[in-house]
Amino acid sequence: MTALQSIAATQFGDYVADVAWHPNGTMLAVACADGAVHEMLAEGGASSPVAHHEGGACVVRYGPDGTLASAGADGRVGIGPIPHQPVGAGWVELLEWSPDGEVLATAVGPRVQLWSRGGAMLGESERLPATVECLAWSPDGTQLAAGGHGGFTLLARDGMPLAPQIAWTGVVLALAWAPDGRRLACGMQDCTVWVWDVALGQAAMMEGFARKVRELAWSPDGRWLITGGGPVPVAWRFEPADPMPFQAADQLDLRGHERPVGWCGFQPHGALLGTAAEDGVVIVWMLPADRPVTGATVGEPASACAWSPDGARLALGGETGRLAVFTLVD
Amino acid sequence: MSDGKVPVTVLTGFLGAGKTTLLNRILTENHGRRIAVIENELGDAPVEQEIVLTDEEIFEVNNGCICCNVRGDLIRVLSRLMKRRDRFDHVLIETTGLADPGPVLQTFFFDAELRDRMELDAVVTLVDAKHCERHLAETRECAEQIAFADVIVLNKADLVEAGAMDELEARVAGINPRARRLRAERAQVDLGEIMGVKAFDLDAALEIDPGLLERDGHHHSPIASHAIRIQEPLDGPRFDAWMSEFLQERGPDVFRYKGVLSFVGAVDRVLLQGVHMMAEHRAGRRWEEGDERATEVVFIGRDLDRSELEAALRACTA
Repeated sequence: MTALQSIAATQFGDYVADVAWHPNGTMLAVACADGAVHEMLAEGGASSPVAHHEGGACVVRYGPDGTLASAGADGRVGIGPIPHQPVGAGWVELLEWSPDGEVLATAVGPRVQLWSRGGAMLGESERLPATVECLAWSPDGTQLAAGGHGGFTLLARDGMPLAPQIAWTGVVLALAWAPDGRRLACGMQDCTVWVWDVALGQAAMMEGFARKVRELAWSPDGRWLITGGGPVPVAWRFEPADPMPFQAADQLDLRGHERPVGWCGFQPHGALLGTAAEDGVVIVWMLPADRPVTGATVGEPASACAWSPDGARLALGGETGRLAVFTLVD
Repeated sequence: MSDGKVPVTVLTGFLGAGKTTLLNRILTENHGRRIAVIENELGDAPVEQEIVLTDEEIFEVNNGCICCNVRGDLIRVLSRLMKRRDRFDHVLIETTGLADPGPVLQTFFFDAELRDRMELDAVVTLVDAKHCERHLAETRECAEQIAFADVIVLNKADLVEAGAMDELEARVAGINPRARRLRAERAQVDLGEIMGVKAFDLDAALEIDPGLLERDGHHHSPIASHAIRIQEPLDGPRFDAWMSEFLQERGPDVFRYKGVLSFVGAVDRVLLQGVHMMAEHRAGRRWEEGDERATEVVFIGRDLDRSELEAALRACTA
């Protein structure tokens, strides 16, 4: 019987806005609402502040080579050890490394910026139709999808648009590419999910969600799409051979949470799915079984969650600054 | 607050009505409350708890319906504020002079996450007593802002003679008799009078002031309030069908509505409130023996016909 065992717990000064694992799995970066960015050892929990964003740190991401990027309410981005650079007026809450780790994307307001690993600005998009709510790199790193009110835009690595905005009514709050690089799932403010076949320019809509959908995750084999949008995440099964690859063949309701989920994610190369809810409870699932495998709690409302690169551990941050690391044991 | 929800006050009023004066007081005075202020325009001296909406983003949530708009920028800013909940205990949203407060209010009906964590407290409308008559004559927004209000501050009372002030107050009451009216000089109002009002709280007293129900129904303004009382119990499906049709048709003209519904065979009162097409209702207190069962609803809107509304509601009785 698999279980989650707590191996470390640390108390930070404020709301954990984001948590990210170092690619070697030994270390975590934590963004706090008090402005601090900490790095901590995954086992043992010793931590030290490594950066500061006045007004609050919002997001942390390690590149595949271990370069740490952070951004926050000060409108600045930090990339590795170089001094923080201004991105624009406003909070920077989006930060995504291209899969090869060569380009870092940020967004503030209706614009997307692209940065080199060394901190040089490679380009900035034109003004997009609306404030950017989400960013996602295609698996091959050639396209960056930027979503917001009215649809999403596909950008090249220098920020130039690859095509006009794919437009429809609604606000895109989350984007997730399937591993095939063809299907793009969009979680919407109006409590729907759209799966686009980007090559065909066609989409299927899923509805019936209790809330807006910001939680999306594709399984590494591309057979499952997990959607949040309430206390019952849904696992949508896709048949790779289906002529309409954006149409789910089947669905499973994952019942186990009492509160709406705020995160869902698959082990990077594994089969287990994690979901974390507002009340601080994280549940591990093994599809196609729709019963929880195991669960744990951070002991306060959860605000950030991430699998370790090896898929053996889960970091879970909370609203008053608690960070817990769990390991899967048999 | 009860169940930990952060109360939200929406402040409206024309340019020059004194919103900035009031906001500056709120931002600088030592009143012991921690208030996060969300503004559309940057004030003279931005301070820490002041947040400015930079990208105004109003979007439709119901295809083709012009009144079903919510503020995307507001959802974004409030979601950020929720990560700072320990730093404030009240949120105040200022709308621009001509803005329709509808989309701001509807945002709270629309987004379940916001509803879980925040609650609308009241719409406070500042009125420039000296220029209100002109604003009412020349614009429709001034009357709309009065119609949306739960609290109306008749500001600059010192610049108007007492007789004219009484006339103005009567005029304002004609548009919206439901709102509480305060007179003020230089926006000097007790913050306790405009915050913690609980005007959107369905548990708070919803019973309609009997005075409202006795009004003669003659109105001088196209924007007016109509209180309706019907003793015979309503038939659920009939009422639902009428309400949905009515809001489809007249939603843009119906600013606020609120009331207690009595349904055939119902054990509990049903409490109703809404803004344009976005309504919420739920069970209220039990009807006890000896209670005089009745449906009492107030509609505030533009070009609504009281007798038509009453006839339509009567047609929904069982």
